[in-house]
Amino acid sequence: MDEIAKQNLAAFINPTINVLEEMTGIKATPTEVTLRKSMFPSSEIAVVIGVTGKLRGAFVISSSKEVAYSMASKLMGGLDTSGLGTYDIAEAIAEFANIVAGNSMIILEQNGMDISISPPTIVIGQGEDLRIGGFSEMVITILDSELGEIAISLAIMKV
Amino acid sequence: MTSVNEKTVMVVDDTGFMRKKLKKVLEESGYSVVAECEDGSEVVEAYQKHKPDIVTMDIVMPKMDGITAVKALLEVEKDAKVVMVSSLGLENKVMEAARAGASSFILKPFSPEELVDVLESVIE
Repeated sequence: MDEIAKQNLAAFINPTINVLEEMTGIKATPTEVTLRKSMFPSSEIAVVIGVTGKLRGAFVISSSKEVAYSMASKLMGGLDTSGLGTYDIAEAIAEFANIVAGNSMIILEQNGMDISISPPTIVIGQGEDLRIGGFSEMVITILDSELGEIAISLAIMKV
Repeated sequence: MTSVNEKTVMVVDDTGFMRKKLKKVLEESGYSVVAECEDGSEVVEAYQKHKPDIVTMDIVMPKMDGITAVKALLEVEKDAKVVMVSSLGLENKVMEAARAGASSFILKPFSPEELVDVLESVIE
């Protein structure tokens, strides 16, 4: 699985960086790529998007609550998010993840890998013990930005 | 209150975040958002109630998707102008939206200028 995830990582990482910059003006840089059994430890808000078609698995964007609040504020054009609940914030991150995954689909289609994506599922809680069923490992890329760290996790296999 | 020359828009998107964002961009550009729908199944009734100049329509929504909603709307309101605003920019989705009767297609993420340019060209 990890080889397939590594081969297709760019199709998820590049749209994440590009969509973030286009929607918020913030630049993010990949700093480390690791293989982990579970999600990035500091993740408190995660958005999971299922992948089906020529690839099967999941794409996850996650971060700490603090980073998610800052990111949601930027995504909403500088809106004060301090009065919003965690789910409202996660909903903004979910739409962001959905847009990223839509852009990833276009790249993968151009590479002959037609996929479909599921609507985003929001997971709230500490990510250290969260795993994607059916996958022993995920490829996790940490993006560093002025907002803080955003983790991109990819668990996919070829069908 | 909508002024005589203010163009009116109905926003259809299942996420509150995207409805807020579209509303903010449109209102800052002089449009009046007269209705918001969370699902394609609400579109026909809301359109007939508010008669907007134009509709922005997401594709993936929980009960009725945007392409089905465009078809349903144009069956009863043949002059309705609909712009799809979606992250699903695959060629077959764009073609499907065009065949359903959508006037134009904007891929998310979009810039405020791009959104307004497309809406203006469709309204004209």
